[in-house]
Amino acid sequence: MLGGLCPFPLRLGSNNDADGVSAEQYSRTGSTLASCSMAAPLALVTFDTTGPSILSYNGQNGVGAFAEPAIAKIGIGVVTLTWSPAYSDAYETSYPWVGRSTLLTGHGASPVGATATINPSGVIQVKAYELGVGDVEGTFTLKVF
Amino acid sequence: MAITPTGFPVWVRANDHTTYGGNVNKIDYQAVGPVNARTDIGAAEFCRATADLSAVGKTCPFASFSAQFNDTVPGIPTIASTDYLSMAGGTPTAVRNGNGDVTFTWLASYSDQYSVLGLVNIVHAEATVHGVSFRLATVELLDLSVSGLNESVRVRVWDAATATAAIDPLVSVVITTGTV
Repeated sequence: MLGGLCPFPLRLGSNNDADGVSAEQYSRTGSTLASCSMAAPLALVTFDTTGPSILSYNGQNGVGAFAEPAIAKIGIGVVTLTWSPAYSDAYETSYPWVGRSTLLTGHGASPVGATATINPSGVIQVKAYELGVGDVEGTFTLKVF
Repeated sequence: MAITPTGFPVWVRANDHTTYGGNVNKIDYQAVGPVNARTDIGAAEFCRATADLSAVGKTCPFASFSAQFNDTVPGIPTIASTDYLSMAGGTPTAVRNGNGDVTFTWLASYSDQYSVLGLVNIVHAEATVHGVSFRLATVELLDLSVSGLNESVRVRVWDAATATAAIDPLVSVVITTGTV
């Protein structure tokens, strides 16, 4: 059904599970994809404030160094993460990119945590702390929605 | 004959829109779009679905769960099966290192519904403590098998007032894999 003898538009319908896609199956696919799209994180960044440096990046704009935001150091344990104001999808359809919610987790064997602030332009500032110590450098995972 | 899908299981993070049949030049046959929206899927609609699927597949967690640490017993933490959500199935094994300190370990690889194998490389982890006490959790990514890929996460939970290990915390953990 999906080969050269039957190009797009796809015609939904099948006599069995192996030779096509039913309207019910494709509707479920669309519903599932839409639900996941609404709840999926925009990006995850694991970074170290010392350099600072980004250790790993997963974003809806890509996975790896080519897609990372810019990271800049403001002070001890304080960094900013800046994404482009917009990204294009695989078909070069561009749309603004602004984080609205964040989650932060500290890494390592010390009781470290961090707070995040999202400014109106979408720049996220992270401030790290250690319980009983105060401002420290550290490694953190930031999730952005 | 069973089919082998293109690409890799989504937790390998290697799929793009072309994996799912998208193509920047895909068009409707003879430039005629869907005749009936109730029965037809056009090239533009299909391309949008492949791009969206590729995007959410890059950031979706590999697994999330809540674990009740058992320090008073003491014993390994309890992970209720109903609390465990994963791309690949299979709860991690858990080792208690001490009070408020547990290492969770997944298999080096899992297979998808079509028996396509995908390696696991944990690159992000998050942990949040439940309850009314002021507690903080930290994570540590580990490659215990020395394979070059992280398959374990150590979670430590602290009482904020004393900066010492918390006893019997309930913790939610989310892990996300990266490319291998």
